[in-house]
Amino acid sequence: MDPRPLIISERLKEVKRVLAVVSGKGGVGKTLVASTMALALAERRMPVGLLDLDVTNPSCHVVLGVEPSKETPPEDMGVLPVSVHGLKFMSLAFYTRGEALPLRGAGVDDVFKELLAITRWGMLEALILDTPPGFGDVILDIANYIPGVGFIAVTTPSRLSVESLRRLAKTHLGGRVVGVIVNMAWKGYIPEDLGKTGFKLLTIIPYYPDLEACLGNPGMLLKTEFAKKIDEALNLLLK
Amino acid sequence: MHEWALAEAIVEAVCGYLSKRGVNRVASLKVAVGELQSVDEGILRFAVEELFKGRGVEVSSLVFEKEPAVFRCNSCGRTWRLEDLGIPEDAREAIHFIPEVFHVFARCPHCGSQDLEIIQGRGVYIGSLEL
Repeated sequence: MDPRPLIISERLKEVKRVLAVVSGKGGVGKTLVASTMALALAERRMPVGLLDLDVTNPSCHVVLGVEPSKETPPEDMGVLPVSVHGLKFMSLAFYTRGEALPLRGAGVDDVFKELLAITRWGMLEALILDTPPGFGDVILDIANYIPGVGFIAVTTPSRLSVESLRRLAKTHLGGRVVGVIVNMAWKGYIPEDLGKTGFKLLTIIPYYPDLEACLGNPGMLLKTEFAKKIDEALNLLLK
Repeated sequence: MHEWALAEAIVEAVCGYLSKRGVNRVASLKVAVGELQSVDEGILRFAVEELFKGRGVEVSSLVFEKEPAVFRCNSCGRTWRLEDLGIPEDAREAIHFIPEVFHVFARCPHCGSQDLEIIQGRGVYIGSLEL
């Protein structure tokens, strides 16, 4: 018998809201959306956590400017997330020294359960999850083990990406979606097919070519138009 | 003290099982302790016993069984033991917290692949429970 699943809900019992940033396709900006969302909530003085669940290839630490080989989550009856920029942050990168972790599905499932079973978040208004692209092990585990989770779906205006949202809507996970963020939109273009998903539109974020310069500098990131758009989405979500 | 978190998971799982059956007594509980995770068995035992006491659960026989770690390379099919993989000593702490992290540091000694599968001896699980 695996003892970890039951303890996961215990670890999250003081977390009021869990929001997972998901997408069908890679490269749509999930990590930047998830990290900026957590930073923006911290800026509002809300107790917030950020958990990077892109277990084979985590990168939220790059956005936050955290050097994983120089930080270790403290041990206290489990492990405590690292406090950075006003938020609580946990990532597998702290244990992999920032290197890639080549894993098959069963290993991904084990990492998910282990991280959730040993991390003590304490009281949080919100826990933001960054996830790998697609609807694989991590997304299924989130849905199974965190019953109250809400999915924030990120897409670009490309039909390739929007088509995957339409597919998501038809799965058993579709009902978890609390809203969509259209990222890297050109000239405000919204694909017609987005309406077919039935998902609530949270914000449309234009493509900002200069955003790359803000990676690793949360202070600068929070002053961008991108961060203002994320704030718009948060206002709708927290209504 | 990460062992306390694992102990809590064990006790929570056992208590969940017991409450469904309306009992608070266990005749025999065997906990498998995988070699890869390098859990301190003394701390784990102490934590499990204390937590059961706190929950009012009586366990007549509590046994911790060490399980040697065995790995199979998905590339060449060969099987290996932990000491064969040449994992650096300073990586052991990270593996202690998240056993799958060994994939970063281990290579198949024959073909060099990182596509290694844990056959047994990963971490802590409940081997058997008798009421």
